Order: sequence, then structure tokens, then C-alpha cells
Amino acid sequence: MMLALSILAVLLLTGAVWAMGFRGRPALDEAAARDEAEGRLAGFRAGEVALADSGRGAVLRGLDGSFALLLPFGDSWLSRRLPPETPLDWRDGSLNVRLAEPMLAEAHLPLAQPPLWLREARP
Amino acid sequence: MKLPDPVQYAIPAFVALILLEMWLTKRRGVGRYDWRDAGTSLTMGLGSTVAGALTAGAVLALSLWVWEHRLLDVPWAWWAFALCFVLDDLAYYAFHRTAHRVRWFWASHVIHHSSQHYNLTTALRQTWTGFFSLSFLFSLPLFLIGFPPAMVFFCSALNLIYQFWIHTEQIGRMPRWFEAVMNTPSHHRVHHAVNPRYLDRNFAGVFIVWDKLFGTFEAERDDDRPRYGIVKALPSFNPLWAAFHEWVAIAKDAASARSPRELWGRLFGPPGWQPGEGAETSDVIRARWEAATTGKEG
Repeated sequence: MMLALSILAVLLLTGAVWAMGFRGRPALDEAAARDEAEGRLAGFRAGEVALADSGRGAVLRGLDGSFALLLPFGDSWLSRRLPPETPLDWRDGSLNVRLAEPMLAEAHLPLAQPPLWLREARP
Repeated sequence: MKLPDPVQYAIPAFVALILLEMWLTKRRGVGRYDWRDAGTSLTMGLGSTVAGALTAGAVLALSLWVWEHRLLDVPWAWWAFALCFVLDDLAYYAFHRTAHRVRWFWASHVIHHSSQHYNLTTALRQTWTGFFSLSFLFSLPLFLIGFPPAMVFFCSALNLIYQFWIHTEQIGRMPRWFEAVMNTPSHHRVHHAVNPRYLDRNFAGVFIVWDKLFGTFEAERDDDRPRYGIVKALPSFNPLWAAFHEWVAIAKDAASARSPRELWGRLFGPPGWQPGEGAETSDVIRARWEAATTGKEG
């Protein structure tokens, strides 16, 4: 009985968060992408930035040649730093990166028009 | 003596304060909520309660066994409660610092830090595997001294309740005298932040003085706003993954260890440790950040 009530309370509270409008999926601009990457990835200093379509993510090249990947996650971003030799595979309007993580084997970033620096970084 | 469980009485207040904080977040535009994140946190809180209930008997039995071998007879007096509360908070500091510096304990505690949000639901995002990681060991000295288990559990519950309200961005700074002695939302925001400056700082439960005494205090700065979560944020809201992901990683690393020394480091080294180059411990991250910051200024 207590367990059932607790589950109900969890559902009601979560529903209240949703009902109050906390269900956004924000977009990045260039400044926000730099801020997020430099703030989340210690020592990363952003150079070029390529925003995903509709600002739903970004890939950045650091001054040291490494890359930073920002992926949408709820109302936040997942940030991953990739070494310079990471193959960035751009095909059919999507940037595909193999991350080989248990819950994130590959990342796909919609990117219809990648900038020149990103095209040059392709394998 | 039978004492009530203060947490049971506090639950309605927890719910009311969460609703109030949500309203304030909406109204003031300060702080953040996300329904997916909050749902995960609340589910983790419920799961933690169930896990705690399932293992409470074993913890109580061990506590009573240690208490039977006590060094002193601590009486049921007001000063004993006060002393117990302070020493329990010191034990919490020791546990909490270890939970951030030893991967075995971190695997259990990481759950509490796995949200990129910092609100009152984050306070309820608690471990499911605390018993498995043996975190109750840190309370045993209190029983050995002679504090009755019921008194210790009562003080631990009060400690837990205190820590609820500090998980908020709605409160900036408390009065200076309070900030000097007590753990506050400002101090604990630092603790939940992944900014290199803030990593592995402010382990206090109730009294921030422990951090000041043992050299782990860092004040929140207005020019370095905290970014919450863990260094490698979880790519899933799945509560099961949140609860067990680090244990899975430990098992994989242990299975692939090539020497007893590596196995030890993988299990009991600091989180992010690995042999040779490429470690991502808090100390390494801080050093890298300091080098980059110096380069920027130079």
C-alpha cells in the first residue's frame, strides 16, 4: 500500500513538473556552444564551431586540434571531448561519430551544411 | 528507548517544498527543472527507500552487535544526543570524502551526482547500492564508542533531513555567521559542480567546519557559476542505468585488469584512475585546467 502510494506520488510530482512547462528542448547558438564546451570540458579552448541544424547540438574544434561534441539531452547537453584523430563521418546531412559507450555507441548530429573546416576534418 | 523516524514526518514537507521551488523557478527564472530529470530523481529516491528497507535488518543487527562490544555506556541525555549529532556528522564527512575519492564507494554515491540539475528533487536522487558498497561501516565507530543504535539512527535521519533544503538555487547566500559554520545551498552547489575549481570540495553534511578543518573547503564564486553533474554525464534518464552504471564499468575494468596493482587501482583508486597516461581523476582535471588557465592569462 505504501509502495503504491509512493509510486503514485512520484508520477504526480513528475507530472506536475511537466505540467508547469519544464519540458523544453533549448537550442544552442555559437556563444552558448563555446560556453558549454569550455565550461564542461576542462582545458578545452574552442576554436571553430559548427552548430547542428536548429541548434540541437554542436561540434567544435579546439585550439589544440581536439574536438568537442555537444549532444541534446533533455533540456541540457551531453559534452564529450574527442581526440584530434577521431574520424568525423559526415554523410546524408548527418555527422556521425562512434563513441563506443554502453548507452551511447554512436552520436548522430543533423548537419545539412557542414562548414569547410569540418569537411576537411573528415577521414 | 524507541524514537520516531523523523524522515517519515518530513516527507510531506519535502513534497510541499518541491512544489514551492518549482513555482519559484517558474516565477523568478532562477534555477532549472526538467520533467525527465525530476522523474529520474524521484524514482531513484523511491528505489533507495525500498533498498534501505530491504537491508535495514542486517545493518541494525551489525550495529547492535558492535554496540554490545562498546567501550563506554553513553546515557540517554540531551548532551549525548548533541554529541552524537556532531560525531555522526563527522562520520558523514569521512564517508562522503571517501565516497568521492575511492571508486568502490563512488560507484554507489555517483547516483546522487548524476543529474545536471540542482534542485530539491536532486536531494532525493539517492543510491540503491549503499549496503553493497558497505557505506554503513563509517557509522560503526559510534556504536563502538557506546552511542545506542537508536540514537545514532535518529541523528543520521536529522542529518539527512538537514541536507534536503540545501539542494536549491533559490537561495543565494545565508547570513555570514551561518555560512561560516553550517553547510548551505551555496556551499553545496560547489560540491555538486564539475567546474575544475570545485571538484571534490565541500564534503560536509551539516557543519561546513569539517571542510575548513581538513582543507577541502571552496567558496562559491560569482565569476565561476557552478555547472552540475558528473564529469562524463550519463546519456540516459533510465533509473536502472543511473543506479548501476559505475558498477558495470568497475566489473568490466576489473575483468580486463592485467595485474593485481591495476585491479586494486580500478577498484579502490580514485574515480577516473587508470594505469599509465590518460587518467581522468579530479586532481588531473584540476591540473589540466590550471595549466590551460595559466596559458590563457599568459
